[in-house]
Amino acid sequence: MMSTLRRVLYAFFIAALLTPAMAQEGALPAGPGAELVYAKCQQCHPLRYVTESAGLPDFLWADTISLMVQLGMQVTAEEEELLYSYLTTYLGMNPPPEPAENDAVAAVSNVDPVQAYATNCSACHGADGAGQAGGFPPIVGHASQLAQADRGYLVNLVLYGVTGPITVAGNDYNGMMPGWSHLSDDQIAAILNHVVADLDPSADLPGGLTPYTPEEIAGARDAGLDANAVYESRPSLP
Amino acid sequence: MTEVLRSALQHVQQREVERRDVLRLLGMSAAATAGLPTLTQFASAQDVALASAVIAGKSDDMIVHNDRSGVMETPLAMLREHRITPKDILYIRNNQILEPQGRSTDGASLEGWTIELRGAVAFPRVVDATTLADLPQEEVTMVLQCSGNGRSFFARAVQTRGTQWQHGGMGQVTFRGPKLSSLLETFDPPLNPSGDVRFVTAEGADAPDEGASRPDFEHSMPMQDVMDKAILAIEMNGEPLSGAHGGPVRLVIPGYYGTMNVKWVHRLRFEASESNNVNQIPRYRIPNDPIEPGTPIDYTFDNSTPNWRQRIKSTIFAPLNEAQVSAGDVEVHGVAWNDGVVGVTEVQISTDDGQTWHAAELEAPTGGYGWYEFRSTVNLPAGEHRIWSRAVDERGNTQPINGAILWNPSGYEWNGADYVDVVAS
Repeated sequence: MMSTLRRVLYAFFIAALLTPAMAQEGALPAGPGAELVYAKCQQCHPLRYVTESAGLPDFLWADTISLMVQLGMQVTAEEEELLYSYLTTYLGMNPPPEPAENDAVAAVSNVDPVQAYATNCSACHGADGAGQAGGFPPIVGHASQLAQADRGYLVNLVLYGVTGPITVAGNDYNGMMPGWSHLSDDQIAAILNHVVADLDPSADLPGGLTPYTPEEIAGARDAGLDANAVYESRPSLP
Repeated sequence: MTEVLRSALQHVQQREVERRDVLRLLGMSAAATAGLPTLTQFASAQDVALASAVIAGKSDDMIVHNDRSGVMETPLAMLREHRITPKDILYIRNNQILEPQGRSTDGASLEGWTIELRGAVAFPRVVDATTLADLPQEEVTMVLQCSGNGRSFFARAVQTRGTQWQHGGMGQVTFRGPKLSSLLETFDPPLNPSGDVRFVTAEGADAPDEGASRPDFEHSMPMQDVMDKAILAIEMNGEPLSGAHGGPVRLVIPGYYGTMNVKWVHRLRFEASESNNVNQIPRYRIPNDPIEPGTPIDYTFDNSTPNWRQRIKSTIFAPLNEAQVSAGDVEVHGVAWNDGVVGVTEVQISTDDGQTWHAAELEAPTGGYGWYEFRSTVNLPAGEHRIWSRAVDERGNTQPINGAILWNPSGYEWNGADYVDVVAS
């Protein structure tokens, strides 16, 4: 039987699974399947068991996955395949070099914006972009207003994060969004275009807005801002 | 947050904790101060809980590897402060945990605990554990060491699978309880194992997690050693055995790796063969003949040996790795041990990467299963130095300079010669 303390701890771990910070520092190398590793492995043990095992031979990753299934990990055959592919590629004996930030454009093509949003943004802003009371502002109906007021603001927001109290449609939010500069220029441009279209892939961009381009993202990477500076630059909305 | 920061910085100064531990302290303390984690706290939260939140009574300075079943190691800076490792900093490695007593370092009660003895025996028995205290008591001070201790060092060749222990998956403790053989002598009629019994398989009262398909944890050991050495420990370090460390009753076999010292023991089976449980094979085994690092091996009972008797080993307690020392005479201090079958005869020190060695002063433990303390003085001119130690025993066993020659896929039984890198100025 779980004690109350354990329940509280478990609740915290579940909450911690949603943390955007995990996609950043001290975390997994980006690559297909990374999100699945976050989702599956941390249910039973800290992420450090995975990251500290970087360099395992392929046969040991295969062995580890089957061991974890024996220990109760629930995965489909496809997921098991993806876990193996991710772990042996990015945490295997010959991992690819981490892409330099400027190479990121070349590294990713054909970004699926729906998938990119679901993977990177939905945990906090919601699958439907409605946000979460108190912490995470809505995206639908809000992001496009910001873009129309100052299109560069959203670029900086995603690259450098933002911190400070804001009010959106009469509701207060006081949280901190970390920067997502580890995403490629392509990914960020695709996500922004998806976001300003209110997460409707078939919708046109709101009046006057042209699509964000990877070059535009790349150009903002040299600004060297931080979350406070981005907050100071936030455009005031009517 | 300032308070948390200040306390974390004090840790750095006083305890030489690693950076990641500071991050861990910061993250978890931040979360613990609020009813609900805020976004800012999410951003700084690490994914590992503090030791005392995993097992009540454990020191928060311990390095927590797994905060679910409870796997934690002792930083060397703390381990070296005690001749007998106190229960609040003694390492823990659980495959399964017995709730609730496994969650606390408090002594566990013998009331209602039973131990079943069965298998290929004429008269199986169930023993009321409260009677153990009435038998003649045996006390043994010994090194308790996880067979994965030092696993992280195999990565110098090829990474191995499992908890990435450094040096602190071990400690020196004093267990007390009746010898198993003394208990058996009281039986009338006698247990009377059949002539072909060669192994004793121990089971704890813990069970696999719900949803797991793997079998319950158990280990087999040679009956001869079990009869000669094993005690049913009911005390540790002069107190009723802590629940976190297997209380009320733990099967203790001095000289054997920790995993064989089965916690919460409630059943012993006397059988002709080793168990084929996954924790006996292929887990917790090493190849009999060296294999190429990075290559697999299909374990059989014939080509491999369980993590039974501990390999000879030494660990440098001072200076610590990456320490700044004053140029000139530097005292080197540490501990060495083996399986206790024969004595450790020498610990050798080298400051020229093994070209020359000199013997350290050695202080033997009482009993033979504990730490041999070694001390030596080396003269270090200003600059960077690597100080090595290796132990030698009466059989001539010693530690390989390149520990990876004993590489095995799960990284068990690391016993490479130890070293620390220091800067003298």
